[in-house]
Amino acid sequence: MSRARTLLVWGIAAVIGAALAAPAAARQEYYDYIRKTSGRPIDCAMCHVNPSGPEGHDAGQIGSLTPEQLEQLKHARAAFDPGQEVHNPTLNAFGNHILQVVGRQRFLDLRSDPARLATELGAISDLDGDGIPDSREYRDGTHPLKPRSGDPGLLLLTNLRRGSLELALILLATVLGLYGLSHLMRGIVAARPAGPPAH
Amino acid sequence: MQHRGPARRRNGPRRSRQLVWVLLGTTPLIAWHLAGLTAPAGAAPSPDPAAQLFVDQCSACHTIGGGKLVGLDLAEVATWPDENLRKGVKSMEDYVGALSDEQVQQLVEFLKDPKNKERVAAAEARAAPAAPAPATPAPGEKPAVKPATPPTKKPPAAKPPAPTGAGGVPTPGAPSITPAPTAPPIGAAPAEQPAPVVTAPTAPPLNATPLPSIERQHALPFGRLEIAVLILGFVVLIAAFIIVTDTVIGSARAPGGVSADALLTARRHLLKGMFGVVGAAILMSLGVFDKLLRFYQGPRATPDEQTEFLDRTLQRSRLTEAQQALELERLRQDYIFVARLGDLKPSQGLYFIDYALRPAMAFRGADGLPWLLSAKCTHLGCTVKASVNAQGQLGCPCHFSLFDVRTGVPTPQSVAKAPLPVLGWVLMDDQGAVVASRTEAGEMNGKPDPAKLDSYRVFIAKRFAEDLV
Amino acid sequence: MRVGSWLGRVGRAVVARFPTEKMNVRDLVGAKEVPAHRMSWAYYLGGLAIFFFLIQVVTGLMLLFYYKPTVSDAYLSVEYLTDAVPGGALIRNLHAWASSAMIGTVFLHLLTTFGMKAFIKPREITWLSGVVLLLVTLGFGFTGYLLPWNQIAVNATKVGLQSVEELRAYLPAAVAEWPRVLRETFQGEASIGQATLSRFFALHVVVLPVIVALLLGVHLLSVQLHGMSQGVDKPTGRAERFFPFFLMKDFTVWGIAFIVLFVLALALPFDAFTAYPLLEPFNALGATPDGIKPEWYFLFMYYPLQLVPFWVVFVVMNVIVLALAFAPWLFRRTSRKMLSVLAAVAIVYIVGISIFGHQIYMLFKGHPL
Repeated sequence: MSRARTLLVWGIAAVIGAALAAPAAARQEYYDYIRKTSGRPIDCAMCHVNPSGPEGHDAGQIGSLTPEQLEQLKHARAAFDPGQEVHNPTLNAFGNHILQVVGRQRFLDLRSDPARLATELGAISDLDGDGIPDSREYRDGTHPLKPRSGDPGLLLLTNLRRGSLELALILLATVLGLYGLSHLMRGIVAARPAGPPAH
Repeated sequence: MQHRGPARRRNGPRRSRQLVWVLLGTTPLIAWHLAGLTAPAGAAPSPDPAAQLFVDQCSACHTIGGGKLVGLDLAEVATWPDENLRKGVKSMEDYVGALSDEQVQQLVEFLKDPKNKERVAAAEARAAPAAPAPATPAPGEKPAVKPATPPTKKPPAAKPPAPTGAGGVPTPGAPSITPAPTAPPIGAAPAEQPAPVVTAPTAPPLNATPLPSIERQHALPFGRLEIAVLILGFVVLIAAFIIVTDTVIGSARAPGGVSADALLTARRHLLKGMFGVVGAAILMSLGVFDKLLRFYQGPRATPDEQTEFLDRTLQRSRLTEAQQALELERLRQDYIFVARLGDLKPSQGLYFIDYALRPAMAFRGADGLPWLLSAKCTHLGCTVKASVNAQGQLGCPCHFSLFDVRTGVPTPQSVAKAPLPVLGWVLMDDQGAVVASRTEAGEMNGKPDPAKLDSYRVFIAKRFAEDLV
Repeated sequence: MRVGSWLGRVGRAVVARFPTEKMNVRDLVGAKEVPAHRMSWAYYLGGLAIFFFLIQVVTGLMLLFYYKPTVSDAYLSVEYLTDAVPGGALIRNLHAWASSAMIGTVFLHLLTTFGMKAFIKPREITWLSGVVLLLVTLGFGFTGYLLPWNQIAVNATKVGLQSVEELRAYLPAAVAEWPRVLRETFQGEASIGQATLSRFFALHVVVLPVIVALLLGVHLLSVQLHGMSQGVDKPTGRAERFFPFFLMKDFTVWGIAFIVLFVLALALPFDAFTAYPLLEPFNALGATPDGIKPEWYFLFMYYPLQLVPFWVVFVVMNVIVLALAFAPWLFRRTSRKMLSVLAAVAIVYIVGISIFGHQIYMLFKGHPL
């Protein structure tokens, strides 16, 4: 084998090896960023299947994956470019969505500037349908896949909008009910024989 | 009639009672007629089933010519070979549930039709005005879930393939929680049990079409039976009011009672009152009471949802079973396995459960022997973190007490005042013979062979635990 | 002989507080009047508390159809109710918001009646039953909080109960174990688990409601028998009829409260105020997540416990409860002005520490809790 080809083979092996053995601390910078900017306590379950992260032997962690899942993991780890279908079994839908939108390479690069990930995720995707974009939930430290987790003010606005008919009905019903009760009581009073006058 | 006044008063109650009987008699007819105005679920067949199928199942994640949503823009697939397109559509079963061959064929033809965008618009226009709310979900559709209650919804599409650690079957559904399925092997040092896992449907983005539940809300939100029951209820309510009114007014006719004017005023007030209260009750029914009935009925879960829920319940039961198995083990056995000495590290503790079912940590001490500390913070009982910091301390996440890993003693600034209890251990070789042991007080017994240290196995002993509590 | 005359005195005192000649519809409802003055707004608070309690009973009953009080099923049953049952999320949210509303109203009711000196003769029994009702209401909050069995529920309860054990440091050796034994008896087992959940469930759903029903009966009867208290030192002489005018206004206040509560329940999930890791199912074998703290109505006790030695908080709390219990006799001669000042100070303290407690803690300790 020529020297050039040996080098090439080893080079490719090294790249693949590096890709597969990606640093576990890929997430630490993101965790610290979210913790600091949002002030809310978070755990790894924001992006990962297991709240303690992908390392270990429990459900959703690498040590418990079946062979098919390990294949999926390998494919997912190779998705360096954006726009590829990613089904990493240690990531939840949001985690896979991040890699699909920005690609794994960019995700690793953005460790030095986690704030930019929010911008690059865009403001349209809202995986849990709670009216708050995923990128906003990422910055706020709320869970992008749980509809009841979100900034309370934003949730209130969204739900007021969605439930406006319901609220209008209840408002009208209460007003009408109070009107009715007041007349009922007045009617009973008026029908009473005149008793000792109230002073 | 000579005396109009008294005669009118005398006839009043009797006429009202006749009115009551008339109402009660005709109500069932009225109720049934009104109820018939709401069509039962899925009565009218769609004139364009393929377009309807697209709107119901695909439009949450795909557009045609509108750019990529969650899935790709389907304008591109018109040029794909039929076989590839068929495979692609069939693979969407992972997200939307079962698709019959006929439905797959319909969708393939639909996606290749140059006029499919117009067909989609037409289908959406048909769906918008006064769509009757189905009392039962149409096949393949999710049940009407709590219209306009906060914020949970079930988008018609759904879910990326679930991590099959949860049982292997990716099921469509709403934001679901799959708890940890694996129980720690008996006797092994359990790592942190993961809490549930959230796998969510990929929901349509913010600016997508409004929730189907809202659209149904603008239509009549009842089914046939409920309308009938409600109308009957109202009639009974009105009848009761009329009777009460008459009784009140009738009792006021006693001698020394109220003047005719006062009676008229009273009647007017009572009628207004009845109008107000019954009106409120009707509005509340539209807003709330129908939900009460559905609340009581419970969800009409599809078989997929039932499967998923049962799966989760089972996993949760397995977790409880695992914990009870731990309890049983500690009652039965004199020794509980912690770890191989070779697997223990000086700066990262291994969690295990001691005899009192409290969390504990195992380290490798400086002398190469095991070092076992209770992980239950002596302040308020939170579980201390098992990783040693740069100053050789273990931290408690609740109130930031710091404990020296070599002694278990808290720093003077910590709120915890008592040191973490040290646990005794027993070392056994591969044949199960006890090689060495150390009690909590630090008394060593036996001499482990330094060459074989890594292969020894660390156990906690019941006899040591009995001295503890 | 002495016992007999003492019993006689007690008996006469009780009878004086429950005048049977007034127990008819005309006196209880028809002729009743409510004084009109600048503190008249406070007369609505008691009724509001009952209103919220009624909401709790109804929504609680509905939750009871689906909740399963076992360690393995509790969390899932709550989730099932919230996600799958039609209207379940609304009912649960309503129950959570109304519980905070009820506890807040009960606090305010206590403080305003204190400030208006409504506890003096002949209303001592009203007051005493009210103080016990306050403690029972807090008990509702404490027992109910455990039921969802998520991280914050179990850990906050653990921390709350274990704080009692700090007494051990101040007790002589012979009784040093009593706090722990008491705690374990209350819990039903050495560490919080199924036994605790079952007991708290029974307390929350049956025992405390029965106690409330009985006490509320006594409390309301007493209120109706003696009418609304004077309220201010210089009565204006104006009053309005209880039926129908005050009652109608009372219902209007209920209507407004209902609308506000419904808007909140429909549009703002109570869970949104808690970080999501704390709402994951309780994990007995894992580490405790960050940010565990009790509900807002216990913060007035919680932050002092972190800041000052335990015995200080213990003594102060007991003094306050005893002062409240004996208020009809302790504060008999205190002016309403002084009492209002005390009540205002209490309100400022409670609101301040609940909102700013965290910042105050950081100020003193230099690191977050």
